[in-house]
Amino acid sequence: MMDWTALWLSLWLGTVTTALLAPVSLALGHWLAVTRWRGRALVEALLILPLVLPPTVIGFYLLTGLGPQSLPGRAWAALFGEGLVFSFSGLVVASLIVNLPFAVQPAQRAFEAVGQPLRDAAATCGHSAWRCFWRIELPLAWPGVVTGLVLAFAHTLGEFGVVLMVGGAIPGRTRTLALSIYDRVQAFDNHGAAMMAGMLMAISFAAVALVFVLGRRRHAR
Amino acid sequence: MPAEGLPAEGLSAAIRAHGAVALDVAIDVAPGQTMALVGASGAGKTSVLRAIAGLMLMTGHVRVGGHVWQDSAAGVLVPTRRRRIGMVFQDGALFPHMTALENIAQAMPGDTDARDRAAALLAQVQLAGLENRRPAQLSGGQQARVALARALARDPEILLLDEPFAAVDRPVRRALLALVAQVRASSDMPILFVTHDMAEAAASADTLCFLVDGHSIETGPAQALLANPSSRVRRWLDG
Repeated sequence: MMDWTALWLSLWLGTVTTALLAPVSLALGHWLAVTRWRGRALVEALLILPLVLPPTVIGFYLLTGLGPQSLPGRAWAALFGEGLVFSFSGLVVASLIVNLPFAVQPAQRAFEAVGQPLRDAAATCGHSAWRCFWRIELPLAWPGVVTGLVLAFAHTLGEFGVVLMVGGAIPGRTRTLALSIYDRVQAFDNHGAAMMAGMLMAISFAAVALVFVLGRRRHAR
Repeated sequence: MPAEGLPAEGLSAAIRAHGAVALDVAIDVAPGQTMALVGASGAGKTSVLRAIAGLMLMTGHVRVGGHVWQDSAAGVLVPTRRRRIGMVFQDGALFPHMTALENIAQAMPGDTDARDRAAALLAQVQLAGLENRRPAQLSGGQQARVALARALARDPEILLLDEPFAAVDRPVRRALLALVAQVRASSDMPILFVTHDMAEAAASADTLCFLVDGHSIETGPAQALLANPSSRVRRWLDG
């Protein structure tokens, strides 16, 4: 049987994560595309880390870094009355960090593809950097930005290791669809697991198909 | 304030830069005059234009139309967007998501008559009727015309042309150079023109500036320089 609460929680987590990543990917992706700062390579390497590290390693650092003894954990508890770990808020923080490369990298590549000549042309036309961003760069780069956000959304739905370590798979609070599938398999409920796996696959397929449609649109320019 | 002894409304620039190409160039162009920057690839021709436009770091000074755009000694540096420049880039650098009309109107931010003025400029470069075409729907020659119209849209104090017609064939290039000649006849702004085509330079420019490895080796009236080239220029021409 379908775990609707877990499905809703996964979709909500994906939506909140994507909404928070949107301004971050725009700002960071654009900055990385245009900056000539020497430390850029280090920032890029740091961004890629969530892709190459085992989820358990990220989960461990987040668990200790956001736990009740940590400064962020204590500050959060003082402000909102509950800790970050084993809560939905903790899941959002973990998701933001894990999905940063999925959202930022395509945005960065899209802003790089705009090219310096168009930025120079905009400057000689009297455009400020802000106006150039909104009138020239973003209209050309938006398919890449959206691609990154869709990938981040789809990856959030399927995230397992980090979510398990930071959230703890508490039903109704932190048990997402991916964790619920695992629980059903452990309980030999293959029928329930198959239903939820099918749902997750359908949503992920739709998201990835959207990425390809946007990619074709970008190349058609 | 124009510098003492220099043309009141022309271009005066002393450019020093360290980068991919080290520059040490001094240029004066009188109002209404056209100077062609000639030299081999990598000589620094494009960099000189970019320095005047404020698109690269340099030291020295740039004064145009009586305005100081950069004076390193006095700590003056006017950003590119505040310099009234008309610049045509090597590949046109048209905004691909905009129509020809919108491309030109971009150079008139805040102007309520931008679209009307852009349409008039399109007619001036003989592209009336193609207002709603995007760059990808225009030929190379038509793109170059739109780029020229966009460069003129700011009512510039100087026109900078960076091998603007290199990508079009010779008959189209002749027509485009005729358009530039029309602009030159109707305005007293200085024009700085990058080319590696000596015939084009001789036909279009009042003065020539030969660049070698970021240094101007000879500057003077085009006809005189070509009729009686110095040994350094002759060496460059021969080789």
